[in-house]
Amino acid sequence: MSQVENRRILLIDDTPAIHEDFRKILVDRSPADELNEMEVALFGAKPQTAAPRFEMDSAYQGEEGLAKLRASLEDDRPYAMAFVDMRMPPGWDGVETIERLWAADPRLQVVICTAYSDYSWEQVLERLEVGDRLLVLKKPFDAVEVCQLAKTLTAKWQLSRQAELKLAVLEDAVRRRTEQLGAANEALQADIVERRRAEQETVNAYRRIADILEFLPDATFVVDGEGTVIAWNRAIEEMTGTPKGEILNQGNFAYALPFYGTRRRILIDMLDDDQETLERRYSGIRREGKTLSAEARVLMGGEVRDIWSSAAPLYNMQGARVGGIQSLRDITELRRAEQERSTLEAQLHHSSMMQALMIQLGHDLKTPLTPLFALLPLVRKQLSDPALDRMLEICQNSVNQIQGLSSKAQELVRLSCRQTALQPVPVPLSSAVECCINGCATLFRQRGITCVNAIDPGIVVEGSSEQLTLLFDNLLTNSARYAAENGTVRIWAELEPGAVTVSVQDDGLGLKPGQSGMIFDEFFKADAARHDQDTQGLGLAICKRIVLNHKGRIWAESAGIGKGTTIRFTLALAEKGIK
Amino acid sequence: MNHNKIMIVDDNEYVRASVEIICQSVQLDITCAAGGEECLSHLESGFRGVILMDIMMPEMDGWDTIREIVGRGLYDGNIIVMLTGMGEPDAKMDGVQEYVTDYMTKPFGPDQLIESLQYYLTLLNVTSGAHA
Amino acid sequence: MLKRNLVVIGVSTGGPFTLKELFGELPPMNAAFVIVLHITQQMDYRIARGLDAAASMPVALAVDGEHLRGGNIYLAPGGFHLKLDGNQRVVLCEGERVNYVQPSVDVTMQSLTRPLGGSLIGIVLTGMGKDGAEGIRHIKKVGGVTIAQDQKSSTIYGMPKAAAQTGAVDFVLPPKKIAAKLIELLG
Repeated sequence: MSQVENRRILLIDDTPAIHEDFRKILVDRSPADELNEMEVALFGAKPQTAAPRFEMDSAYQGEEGLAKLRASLEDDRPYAMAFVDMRMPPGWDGVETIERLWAADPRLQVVICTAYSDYSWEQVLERLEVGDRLLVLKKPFDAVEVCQLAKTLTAKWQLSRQAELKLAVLEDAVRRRTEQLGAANEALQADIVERRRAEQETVNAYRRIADILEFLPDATFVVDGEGTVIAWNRAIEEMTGTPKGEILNQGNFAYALPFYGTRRRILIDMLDDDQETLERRYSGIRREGKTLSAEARVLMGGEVRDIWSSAAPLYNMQGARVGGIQSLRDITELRRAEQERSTLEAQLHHSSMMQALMIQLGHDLKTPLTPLFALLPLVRKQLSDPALDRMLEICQNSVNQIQGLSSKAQELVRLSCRQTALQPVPVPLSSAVECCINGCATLFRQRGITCVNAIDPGIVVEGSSEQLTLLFDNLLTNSARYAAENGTVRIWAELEPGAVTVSVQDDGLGLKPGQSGMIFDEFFKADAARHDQDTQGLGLAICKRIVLNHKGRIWAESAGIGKGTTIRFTLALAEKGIK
Repeated sequence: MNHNKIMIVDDNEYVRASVEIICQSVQLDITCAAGGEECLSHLESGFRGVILMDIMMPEMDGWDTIREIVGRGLYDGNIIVMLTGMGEPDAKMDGVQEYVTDYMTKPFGPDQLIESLQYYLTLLNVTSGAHA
Repeated sequence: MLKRNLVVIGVSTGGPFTLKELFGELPPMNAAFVIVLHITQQMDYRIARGLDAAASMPVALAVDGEHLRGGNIYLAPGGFHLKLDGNQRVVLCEGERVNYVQPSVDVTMQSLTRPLGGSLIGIVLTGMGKDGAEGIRHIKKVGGVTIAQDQKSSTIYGMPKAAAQTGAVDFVLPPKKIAAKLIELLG
């Protein structure tokens, strides 16, 4: 609908003459207008405002009028007003027509033209919902009346229309505003919920941190900006024996009391000290970023303890310093273990050195021994003087001893060397023993000793052929030396699941009670009085080392002095062979 | 040609002296060398016989000396016997086994040495090409 | 079926003396002895000669293609590997060193087959290295008897140790006892 003034009028009257009259009044141009126009055209006079002209459609029956109205609505060119006659036989009367007109277009302004007073205003009001859109024009009417009505009613239609539109716009604006406010409100509500939740979270978080601090395994305490203790956790209570109650909210270096017995600065107080000051106070203080750490020795609970601690400043979210936190750890045990370890390592290093030295010594002894070995016999051959010969004999025996000692010691070191891994193979036990018996045959013969090998030939042990040979060599040599003159040495084996116990028994010197462990010690000699040059006291030590290399046990049994000795040891059985 | 020549190669003077004395006591012709280089120069000069070689010598050890002897084609006509304080030889011996006829560990007695030397000299005195 | 006894001996440093000791104890036997000694061509005949003087049986360098005869001692010549065809025919072959040596004991022993009649005996004596260990294992596998020299009497206990370590050695003995054992086994 355009904003242009709506000047459309509908006249519904069954009298054609009325239509003519109205047309004259409303539509046609007046003579005054024509004159005016001529004046303007000829003389250039100021054009006078003409009376407004209207568009008028005619209908002679109510129904026809309705149709025209409907058409006008369809064309979107509605009538602003309608003059409707009261009586229009044979069709609808004025009131009915108006009723229908308003049903189709409630905005239509209507003037009802009536000559008759057979309908009173009250009656009309009864039939129609008039509002302010109905005026009455009584016949006969004046042209001016008609004109005025047309003017005012079309203007009124216009104003109503405008008001309607304005109202619609306002309503729309209000609606939108309301929506906005509604949304804003919702947002605000949500915001509030969120904020509450965040607050709760913060509270919870603080509670959790407090809990965490309380149950931290490391002894920890917290101070505020004034040095007042604001947290003292369980672990530090245990460490110091000072409960929370005694120290919370205390200031003035109260936290130093459990450690030093006096109020004094401790690590947490040195956070702002410069490097130089720090180094003067504690050696070994380290600074990493804002954290300080140091070790100190303190007297706690009557004991000297090594304490390691670290301290750091605390800041709030705005970056302001609000206090400090310090954690401590008792590392006394750790330090002790470290001490032990370095002692052990030193010992290990020492024994490795000793081993290397022994090996070197062994090598180096052989060279100076060579001339002694090589030349003494030659000298003896060339001498006839028995005294000189005796002297040289003694020298030779000495040299033999040195050589024996050196080579046995070397052997022992070689066997004890951790680097040599045992590569076990199956070794037939009885034949290994037999071989060694043959090796010692001369020794046995010299003393008239019989050696009996009672080991089952089917027994096969797991081990190093070389070391086991050496083992039996040493054992048999030992037995030959200590067996009784013309006595017997017996060797036998007893089977167990997976292992065998071998026994080598002589009927000789025997052992004093308590000696049975010592005989395996290096350089031990059972008969101290007999300066046995042929033995260095290392034979059994070597045997023990070999048995240990084979993960077995070795021990000695003796009924007493003069009642002989039995050396017994265990070895693992090999897969094949009898079990 | 009769071979009765012995060479002792050892960096220790007393060992050399001892061997010298032993050999002289049974009229064996003995040459001394204090190390690998001296040994080689004797060989270059024509020495052929039983060489008693120490293993652990400074500069050029026993094995290197043997390899050098073989490399220079000086082996033929000699028998090499290691004379050493080392208990068992190490892997440096791999590849020269056939050039080492015997291995004596120090200290050794004079009789033992003489017996070996005399036997090896008889081997060297075998005329070539003869089969049993 | 002719009973052919065969004894194969592997030996290295310390060989000449040890062999002298061993064969000095042996009377003439009904067996062929093949000795594989780590030796050079310049020395092999000398050793053979020396041993021949000490042994009760004749000693000679093995000749390619010859058939072994009982009561004889054959020395593998230097510069070749010695294989036995059918445990009795000598086959000399050139080739790479085995276990750093030539002739190699392993090559000889591993060329042996299960004897159809008679004894097969393998012996490893003094020497450095481990030549002969696999050979001993092989001889045991084909039904032979195996012997290794003991540590005490060995000049160098390398090869006999390696042989003993295989677990395939029947007897560990010094030379004189080995001789006694041979008399026992072949007698």
